Amino acid sequence: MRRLLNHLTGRGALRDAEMAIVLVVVGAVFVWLMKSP
Amino acid sequence: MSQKKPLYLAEANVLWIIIAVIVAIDAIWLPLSGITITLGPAFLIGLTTLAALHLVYTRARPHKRIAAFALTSLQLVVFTVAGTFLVYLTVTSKFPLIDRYLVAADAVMGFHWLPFFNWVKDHPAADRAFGIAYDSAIFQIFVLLIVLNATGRLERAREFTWVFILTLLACVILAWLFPAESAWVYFGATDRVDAYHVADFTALRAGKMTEIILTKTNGLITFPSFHAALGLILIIASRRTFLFSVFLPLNLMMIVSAITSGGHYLVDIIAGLALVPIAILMWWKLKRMEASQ
Repeated sequence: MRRLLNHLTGRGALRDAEMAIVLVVVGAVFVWLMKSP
Repeated sequence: MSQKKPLYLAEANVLWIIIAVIVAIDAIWLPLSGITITLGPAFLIGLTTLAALHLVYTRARPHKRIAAFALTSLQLVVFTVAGTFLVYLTVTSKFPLIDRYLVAADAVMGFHWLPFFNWVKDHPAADRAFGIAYDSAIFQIFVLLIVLNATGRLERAREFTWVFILTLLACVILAWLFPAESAWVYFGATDRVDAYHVADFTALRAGKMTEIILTKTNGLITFPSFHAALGLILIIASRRTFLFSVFLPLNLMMIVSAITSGGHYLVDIIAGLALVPIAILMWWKLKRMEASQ
């Protein structure tokens, strides 16, 4: 539990949030481009 | 001692070479055909965004999963766009249409397209469900790639990319050599569907198309069905993930929907499905070569 709390409040959480946001952005651009052809 | 590159990076260069060959064929064929292409600013902005994100998360701020996803997206998009132009160019070859042979092959299997099509059209709920399944392909790829990359299944994402590209490439070549107008046209059912491809297909074969606008392109392949192939690819790529229980029924439906929502003959579906194991074998072979290096 302590490790999870450390993760959620530390740099790991920021890194995970960044990954989630960028993955969705990349995915959205991908769908947008693939919709063209 | 040199460190071995992860598989997803080493084979990516091989895939770039394949994509470059397709782009080069387009670049040579387009001026010869007298057809021009319009990509549009949106495409170029999107492509630059993906390339920039890949670069940032490879060099400036290394993050393997984001970099891998950006690379995979970039390769799928560039190949699909180059492949789309290639399909349009191949139609100008005007090889003899094979629709009647496809109908005969269906009859040999005891399948009669028109009664099946009419049954679906007479049942709006089934027709709508097939339509939704057919149109879900890109959204499914979006979800699949996010899940695979977010959970670190990078090699599975690369497997999907390779199998997608190899299968689509095989479809392009077969559709070039064995063109067909689609079951919608053959059976005179175009008034009951949005036969989106007919205008371009006819104009290209008549030599009346002078410009291909990327945002207005359509799928022109009848034989084999890439939608059917993609359905199977998505099922296989989602194995042992939580997506599988949704992807299995949805894609089985997408495979069948290609008959009514895509104007495909049954034999198109079977041929499309048959290409997938061949592409997977090629991917395995590539992985073995990579491992033995």
